[in-house]
Amino acid sequence: MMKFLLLLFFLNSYGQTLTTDGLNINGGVDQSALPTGRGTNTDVLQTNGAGTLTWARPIKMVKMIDYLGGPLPLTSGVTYTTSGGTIKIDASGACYRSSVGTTVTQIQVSYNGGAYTGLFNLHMWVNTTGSATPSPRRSFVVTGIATGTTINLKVVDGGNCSTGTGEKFDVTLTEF
Amino acid sequence: MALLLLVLSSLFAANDMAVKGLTINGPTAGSTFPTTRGTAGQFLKTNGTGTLSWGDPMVVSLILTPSGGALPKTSSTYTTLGGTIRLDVTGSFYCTAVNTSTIDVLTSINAGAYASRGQMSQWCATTTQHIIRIPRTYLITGLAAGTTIAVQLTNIANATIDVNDYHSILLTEF
Repeated sequence: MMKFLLLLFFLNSYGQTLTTDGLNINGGVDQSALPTGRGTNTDVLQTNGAGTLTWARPIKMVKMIDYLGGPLPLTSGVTYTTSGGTIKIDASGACYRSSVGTTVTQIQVSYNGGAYTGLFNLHMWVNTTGSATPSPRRSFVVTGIATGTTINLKVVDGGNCSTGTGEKFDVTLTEF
Repeated sequence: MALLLLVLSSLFAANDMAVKGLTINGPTAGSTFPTTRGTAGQFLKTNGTGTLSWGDPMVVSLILTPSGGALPKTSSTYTTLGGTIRLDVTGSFYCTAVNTSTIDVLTSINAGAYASRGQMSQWCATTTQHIIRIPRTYLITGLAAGTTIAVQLTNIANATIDVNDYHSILLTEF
């Protein structure tokens, strides 16, 4: 009798849309529970490996400083609001130095409109006088950021980094 | 009746169930699963208003392999999955005089005419040496699935380039 009822259920359900409140799939130790909310646009499903599926934000990117010339300091034209988690900042730029030595460009960050503080530096040794020398691109990762945190970035002279319109700076933020 | 539901529940838990469509969490605040299988590597995403669909994973492609030699250089053609792409462009030039060296980064969409995405300039103060350009990243958004894109690097001013000056373009699609 039970098998007959089950067969009727399958025959009835296949070919139609099934609507249910909550859903666990696979059962037992392989069970995963789908989230009970809709998430927000572009969210993706992720698992915690222990049976719970939740909505997660996909990778996002934004140009914070789009190849702008000096002089420093340069402040990002956009304020980025994070979804929480981890961000990566890719920065490149150049400095002019009139004598042989090291140039330093500092990337600073402001969280939630607070004071700017140093996040990381770009270093370059200049061995030809009177030259504009690019520094290698550097990436920096920040973890543990709370959802809704706003981020502004600034590029400043960290030491012997003279800049004019010919020294360009390019900063991209990626959120994971 | 309770016994019947209990038995049915246990039967469902121990068996596969196949339905053509599925909406979870009710008809007014629920989410409806796609009715197709998608393709390998895709993941489920939501539009936030009740529709789930298959999304494409991140793709990385070196569309211009690092190579020396004169400009112009043209990348291979990439077919997008739709959405946003990022181009990371690097290169160098040979400085023969005190001046500014400029190249242009152009893109061709769906085999159309090449249009500038923005130039890369580098001031040169010391002659007769090779100088690396400041790497630049470009973001292109709103691309429809199936759009083809090719990138070209051209000399605008003073970009003397020989076999020792390498250029490369890395494309990342999100």
